[in-house]
Amino acid sequence: MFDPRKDLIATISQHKAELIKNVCNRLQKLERSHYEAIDFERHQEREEAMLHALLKGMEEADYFTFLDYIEKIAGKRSNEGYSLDEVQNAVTVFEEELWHVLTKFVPIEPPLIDMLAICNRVFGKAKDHLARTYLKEAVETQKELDDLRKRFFIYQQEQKEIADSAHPHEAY
Amino acid sequence: MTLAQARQVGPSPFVSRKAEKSEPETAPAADTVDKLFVYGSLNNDYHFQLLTGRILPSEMALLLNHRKISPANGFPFAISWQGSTIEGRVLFDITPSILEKLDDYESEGDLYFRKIAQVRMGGELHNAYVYVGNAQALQHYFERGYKERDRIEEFVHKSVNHYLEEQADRCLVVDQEKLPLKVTRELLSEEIHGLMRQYFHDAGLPPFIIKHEIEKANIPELSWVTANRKALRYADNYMTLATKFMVFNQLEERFRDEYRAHVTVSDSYYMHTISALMALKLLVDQNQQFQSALTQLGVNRFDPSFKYTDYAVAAIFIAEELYTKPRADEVADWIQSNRRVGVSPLGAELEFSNLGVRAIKATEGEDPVYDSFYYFYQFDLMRRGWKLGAHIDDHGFLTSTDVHSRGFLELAFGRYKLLGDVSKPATQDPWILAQIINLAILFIQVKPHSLHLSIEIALDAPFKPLEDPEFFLCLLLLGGDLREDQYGKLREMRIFGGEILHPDVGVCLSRLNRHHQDPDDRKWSTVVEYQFPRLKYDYDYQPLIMALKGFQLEANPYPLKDCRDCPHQDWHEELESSLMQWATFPTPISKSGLGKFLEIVEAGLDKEAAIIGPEYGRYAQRVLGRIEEQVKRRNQRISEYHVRSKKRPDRND
Repeated sequence: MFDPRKDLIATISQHKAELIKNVCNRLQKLERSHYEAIDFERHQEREEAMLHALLKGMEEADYFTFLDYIEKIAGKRSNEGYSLDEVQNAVTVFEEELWHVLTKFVPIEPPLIDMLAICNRVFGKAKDHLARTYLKEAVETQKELDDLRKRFFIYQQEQKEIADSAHPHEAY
Repeated sequence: MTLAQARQVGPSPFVSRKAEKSEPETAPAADTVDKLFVYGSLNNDYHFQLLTGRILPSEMALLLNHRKISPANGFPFAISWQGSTIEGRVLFDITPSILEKLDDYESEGDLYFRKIAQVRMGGELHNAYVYVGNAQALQHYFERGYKERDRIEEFVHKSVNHYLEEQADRCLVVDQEKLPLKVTRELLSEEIHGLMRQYFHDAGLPPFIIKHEIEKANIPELSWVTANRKALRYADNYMTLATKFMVFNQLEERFRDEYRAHVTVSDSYYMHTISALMALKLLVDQNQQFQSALTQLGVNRFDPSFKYTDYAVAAIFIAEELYTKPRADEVADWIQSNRRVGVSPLGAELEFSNLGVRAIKATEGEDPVYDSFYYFYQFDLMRRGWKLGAHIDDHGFLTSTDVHSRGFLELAFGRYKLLGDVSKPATQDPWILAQIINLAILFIQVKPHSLHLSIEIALDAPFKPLEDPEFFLCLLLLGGDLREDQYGKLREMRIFGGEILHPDVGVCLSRLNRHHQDPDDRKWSTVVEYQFPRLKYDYDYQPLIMALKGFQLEANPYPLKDCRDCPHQDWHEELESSLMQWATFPTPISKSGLGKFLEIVEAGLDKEAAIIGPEYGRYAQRVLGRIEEQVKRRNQRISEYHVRSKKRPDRND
């Protein structure tokens, strides 16, 4: 019986070398992004890790392994100064290259549509997860810095008062 | 404390029981004593001159009934100890004004107590002053790893602070204690560092010079920005970078102060390297909080109502927020457990530009973030980033703040005086160098472009002709930039893209350079500078640094450029042309070429390990394994590329 998940995993596994190479070459061409200035071999290691998590996640009903991986990557990249756009673009590059591999090697028949639907779902969830993690990190960091904000505000107020007392407003 | 009070000082709490029971020493009237017994920091004419401006006549002597304690992580001090003696010298012609300066330095009454004690000199007994340590108070210094030089530095800082306070009062009015001084120290840190350097270089400076230098140093202003519409477009980004540098400076100073034992290096090396690495590590590990703090305080943008001092205040607050003892300890442990000190002095220059190679000839506005750093000096960023050697490299001959030009933002580790190009090696430790490169890239957040690595060479080690051009290809595989171009053709982009290709001089793969270590040009060193490496995110530079070191120590080939007496220029021209061909159409390196290259690197690293020890040897072997793995992996990639290209119908090289 046809199981689109299993077939999808098998097809990706079979063509993973080509997929990884294409993703790495494209990422190195993403102008004005961090990815442009990363060594090919380092990209290869990163994308292999991502593919590993993707394949494992596809075996699970809730894609937990993949989404967990995405969350960790989001935290790491966010701390390294990558913008959300940049990381989402990189995930899109991966997704597009995956589609290319599938459309190249799987006949254009209904099973392909099922496979693409799975890809669509898993990457949709991944991008959603990515954005949520970025937002969550930003909110948490903001809370941690409340005292710092207050301290600077007090300093600014003090400066303002000093300036006002030095140059009192003229009466209209 | 007066001299009379000094005589009344009772026994220190650390005086031994034996000492407590001893008979009190004979103490004549204070005004008859004009001798000082010295045994530690003061028993060094250079130190004494730094502190008092004088060198005094002296004679060897023995201090009776005292014992010298020499802590491993500190400086020696004396305690009373019946029956023990300390070897040292007696200095003559001690005046009240000298004693006043020394009391200030020794924190008399706190860290030390000045007593009158008996000394034996030429077989006769004499009375002389001596500074006896207060071990409990000194403990605080030892915990932080303070050495003699650090205490002298602290003492000089005190006198500099005296003049800074006057400047601080003019620069910032605020009701928070010490904040104006901190802000002024931050904004004038380059000048203060220059004064300190001069102080140690000249064995002291008259106070009026310190006062004059501080008074003439200007506090940067921002009032010009609103009137300059072009600069205003980029002001947000410049002020963010300025604030980032100031936060970094604050943390660097804190690490230098709190972790002296970790950060102190010999005087031949740049004194800020390790503390800079620690500050970068702390910042990069908390980059998210750091960025968020900049945003929340509104210092990630140019605010016309803010003065430069307001940005400095924000930077001080942010640094205080990010620095916690547990985090700092983690960073210190990380440094301590990874250090790998080798024998070759090393240096690095990092170039950044959002436009890549087009940085130099960029047109106005082409770089939307910094306009290719055209306003770098106007926003006073060279003074903010001096600890990392930040300046603009327009590939001209000299660095000058008077000339406006577009170019790369360059960090030159160890270049402590940018105008005049004076530098010291950044480190002897390849691990330290690799880490600081990586962290600086993450800190700067401008597209990394290129890396120049320098290795100091011994003057008595003669250059040799390069045996095999494939050795340079191995280096290019390790540190160059192998990637597919826009047409899908594999290239080595540093040469193919013309980045290290000069129309007049050819391929600038390596050059002979001279580094001046002091402004008077009395001390300089010879370095070979490798200019081909690509600067990349998330890349471990240890294999490349170690490969270059091993290669240089063993093969020691003539640098391709600026080596006037090189008898192999014709051969170098052939070599450069073969490098250009290879960069255009890279082919796999032969097994034998690869094998020989690894043998050379290993032999060089073995030489180093023989000097340093087996632990370094094991480290070198581990890195050697990674060098082999990386070169083979990239060689394999070239082979695979050719296999694929042959299959492609449209192959057209």
